Amino acid sequence: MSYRYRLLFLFVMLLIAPEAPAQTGGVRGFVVDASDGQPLQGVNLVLLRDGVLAAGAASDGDGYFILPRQPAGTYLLRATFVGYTPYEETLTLRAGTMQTLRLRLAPRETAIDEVVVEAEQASGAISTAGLQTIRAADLDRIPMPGVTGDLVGQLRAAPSVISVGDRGGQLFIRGGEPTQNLILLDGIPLYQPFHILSFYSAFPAEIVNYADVYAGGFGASYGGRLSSVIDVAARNGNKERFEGGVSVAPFLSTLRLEGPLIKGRVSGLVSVRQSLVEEALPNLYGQKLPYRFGDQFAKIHAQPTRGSSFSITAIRTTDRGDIAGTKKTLLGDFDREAIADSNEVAWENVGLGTRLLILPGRLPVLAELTASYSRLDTELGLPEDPEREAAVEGYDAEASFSYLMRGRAAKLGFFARQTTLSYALGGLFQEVPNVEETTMREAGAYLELDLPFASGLRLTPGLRLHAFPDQQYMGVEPRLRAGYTFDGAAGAQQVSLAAGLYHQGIVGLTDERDAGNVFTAWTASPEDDDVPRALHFIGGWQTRYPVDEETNLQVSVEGYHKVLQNLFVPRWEAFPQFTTTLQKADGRVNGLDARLEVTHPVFYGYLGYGLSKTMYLSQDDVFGTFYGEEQDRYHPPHDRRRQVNAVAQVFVGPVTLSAQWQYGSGLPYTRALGFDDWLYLGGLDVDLRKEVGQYRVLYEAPYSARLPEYHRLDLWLERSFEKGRLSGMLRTGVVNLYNRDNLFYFDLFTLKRVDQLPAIPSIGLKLEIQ
Amino acid sequence: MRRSLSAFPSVTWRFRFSLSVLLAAFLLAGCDETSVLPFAEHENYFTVFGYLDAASDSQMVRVIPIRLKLDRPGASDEIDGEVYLHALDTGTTRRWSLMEETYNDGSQGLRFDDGSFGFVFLGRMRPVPGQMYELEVRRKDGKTTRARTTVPVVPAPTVEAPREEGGAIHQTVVVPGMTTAPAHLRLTFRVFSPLFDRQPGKPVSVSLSHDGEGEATAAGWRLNVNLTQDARAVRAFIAANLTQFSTIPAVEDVATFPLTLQDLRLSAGVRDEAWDFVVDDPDLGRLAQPGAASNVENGFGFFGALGWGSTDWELARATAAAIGL
Repeated sequence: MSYRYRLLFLFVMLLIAPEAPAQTGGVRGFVVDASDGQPLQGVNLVLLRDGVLAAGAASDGDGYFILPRQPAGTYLLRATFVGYTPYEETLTLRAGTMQTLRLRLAPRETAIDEVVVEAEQASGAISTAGLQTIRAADLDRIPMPGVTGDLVGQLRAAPSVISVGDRGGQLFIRGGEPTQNLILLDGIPLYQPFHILSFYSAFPAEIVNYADVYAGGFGASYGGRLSSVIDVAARNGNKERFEGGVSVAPFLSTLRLEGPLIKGRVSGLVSVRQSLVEEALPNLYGQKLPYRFGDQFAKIHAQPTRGSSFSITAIRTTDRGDIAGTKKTLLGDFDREAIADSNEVAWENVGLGTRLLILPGRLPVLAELTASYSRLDTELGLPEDPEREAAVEGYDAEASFSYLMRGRAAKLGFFARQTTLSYALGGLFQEVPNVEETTMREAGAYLELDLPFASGLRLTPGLRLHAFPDQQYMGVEPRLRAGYTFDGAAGAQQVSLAAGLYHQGIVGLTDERDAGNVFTAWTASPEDDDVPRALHFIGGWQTRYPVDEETNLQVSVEGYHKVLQNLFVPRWEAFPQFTTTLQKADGRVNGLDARLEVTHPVFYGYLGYGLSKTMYLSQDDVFGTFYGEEQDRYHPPHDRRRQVNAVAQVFVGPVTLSAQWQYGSGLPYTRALGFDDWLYLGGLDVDLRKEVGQYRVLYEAPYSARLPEYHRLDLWLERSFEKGRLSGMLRTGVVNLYNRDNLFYFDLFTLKRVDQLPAIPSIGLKLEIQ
Repeated sequence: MRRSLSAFPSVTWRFRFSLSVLLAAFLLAGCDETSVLPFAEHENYFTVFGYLDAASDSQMVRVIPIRLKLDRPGASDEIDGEVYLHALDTGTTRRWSLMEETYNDGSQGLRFDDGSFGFVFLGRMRPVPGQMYELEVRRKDGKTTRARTTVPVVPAPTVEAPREEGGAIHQTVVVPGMTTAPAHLRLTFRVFSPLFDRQPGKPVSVSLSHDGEGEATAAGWRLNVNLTQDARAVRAFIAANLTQFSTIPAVEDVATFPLTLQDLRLSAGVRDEAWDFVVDDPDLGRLAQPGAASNVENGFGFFGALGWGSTDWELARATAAAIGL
């Protein structure tokens, strides 16, 4: 071990090591909701000795807590959480022992005088330095054309999450591309979990417990992606009683069943959702909406002992549809023949994973073992004869050990991953089918510390060693997250920052010339080149300010800067065909997010504003001949400069009126000068009377024009009702209320414009038995 | 917990705010632009592909009007364009004619294998080495696409004395001043045979390609020709195509049938400098970028010139006999 590593090890030990009395004991365990067995995050746990505070901790996302290293004696353990009856238990801690408990907190009956507390708990996402923690209750804040909330609604409302249209399921987060997002469901990586109609994802409110969304600056326990992390923890089924729900709506209908398999110990949860939009909606404006999608989710969760839990999660999503389903002529008339053409895209995710949490022996350690399988298949073209196909299949295994001591924590993890990437590209303009299959391995380790200080400062430094054996590359990735909380004149405030270095070995290729193209071909970064990497810098400030007894105001502002290096993008070519010839590019992303959120018992308001600029720079000597300079500087097709999201909800008894208005400035696109045919005269053996040549598009400089800006208003009215164990909700509303012609993309080859959804009314009913 | 609205009289401003948001959204919806312009304005009118060949009396150029749809022209499409070749050194101008054919289905024009039609113009002339020419494609509205090219002057190759190497007769030819391989290197054998009774007394010319062979030297491009090997190829060619020259259907022995060499000619075809993009392993994706590999003004494509230099010589009878002719 080198001197530097020895010094680092010593530093880590000093930071987390306590004083070492021999005669100490401790307590640890999991906190769950007594009514359904769900883990409770953020429960405040304290040990009191003779009425004096001896130790304190908060439960994590699994409900896990630990209060170690206390002198032997009798203590009062108190657990408190907003909305729950406080729990108290007298404990006798013996020297050299670690008691393991399973605490069950009972939900408190709500009363009028608790309204403020409830409003505060339910207020929107917590965000610090790129991290937004979204809880299940937040998902229903954003109205959807259906009856249930969805994680994607919250994501699309975030200031710097760009969706290029209302179909395709592609999310660009702070300048990153969809293939640069790491999306996890109970630790299972999912490659394309957003549905073809972008209102929906594989993460509906019914199955989500919470989600940590890192728009950047994520810690050392995540890696292998350049842009962001969406880490979704699925709910466990109810361990106490059976319950279920059913909803019927034209866009998406759902069925959910859950309940105890072994009462109090093992639960199951099954959710099935299927779109009916193709069948239920009549022809609108002379066209159908040719989209079919759905998902099936199942989870079994068990707590075999007080000190362990085990879960198996399985998910499958399916999507198929004509991405250009609402096509118009150049003059704006709806094209009744559009449905006959072949712009069909389809994808299927399959994921299966297990997760085991163990509190081993007397050690103050939480061990977490995960293993998963995930596969994505994508195809473009008619189902019986697709023009293009691509697949990515991955096996992941990870073991981590969290060592908690007096409020400080160290997490050490090891991971291994094997991913097989393949594509077969054919099609009208593809003269030779382009087929490739690559297997890529990744392995490594990480160490992350969590160091809170009494001053309000909290540091989370980390280091990740991420090896890419096939590229013969070792990524050494330092990470840092920091927050400083203090009380200012405007209430509780927090200043936070995050920085880190990230690498990504797999490359997702899309045809960048076409903003509407959602087909992705997966491959590995070339072996003889550096692995793509990114540097993130984020700084933010937020405050939560109680305006009056009932009104809370939350404001946050966050700036970010990303440096992208060694990216691989498809080379810009004039032939109208998908190219997998890679070209290196670097990038810069700068931006600013601002959020304002108001919560009140009868009103909820949210305003998000995102300002960003993404620039790519790639080198190609032929560019100089026509475009003026050999360095091709361009703003990629997801470079939306300004984005506004406004949500207003008014609650009048059981009735809720919701409005959401979205605005996005125009996305870059490339104009053409026209078309011709191209002949290579180099060999002098071209017979001009016989050689027709290759189709060629005479592009203007890449992305030198902008599409029209986008905005849309959705309006929803819902009424909820409850009778005994039966509850329900009836929701009706309109997407794109003022029927704006929001352009999705322009098909240069057919001279047809493809618009986003027109005004579409919707009505849905949800029933739940609890 | 939700309460009825009447319990919160102070929240009416929030309703006003919500209504204002709705109204503003409606107003915005009615007054902004949603159309998109897919094509940029520009001053490029035609794409041309072709070259002047100083060894030919017929010159051709393919003219492709820059179109606003991907589909290629059909039988009914006409070209709004006339092609002229200006000899800039002499001030003369020739108008080239559109090539057309009549097909079985009655369609006229020049049809390609994919069923589309194209426009190829023909000029009956032989370009002069050293002269600069300008191709002009002119629309009726006066918009023109132009390309200039100078026909290379290629010095006559020099020929060294034949020599014997490894049991074969070799001869070295040098194209003076050339540092890169000529586009074409052709060795032509003019031969007689008593079997050639279709046009008695006339020699038959057989050209063998030596494109890409040779090496750069201080004196120029140096080509070492194995005359013995080439002579065998000439015999084999004539034997295989004998009926073109003779009423006799076949020869008994390819190696010995009567064939006599009259003389040899080495021709070197050289591209003009604008053709520098030609390499051994071209990256077509890059070359196809508009403007790359192009010398066309107000348009795209390429219009070049090919110059020729040649030398005729005879072999001593004994040497000709040694190579089998």
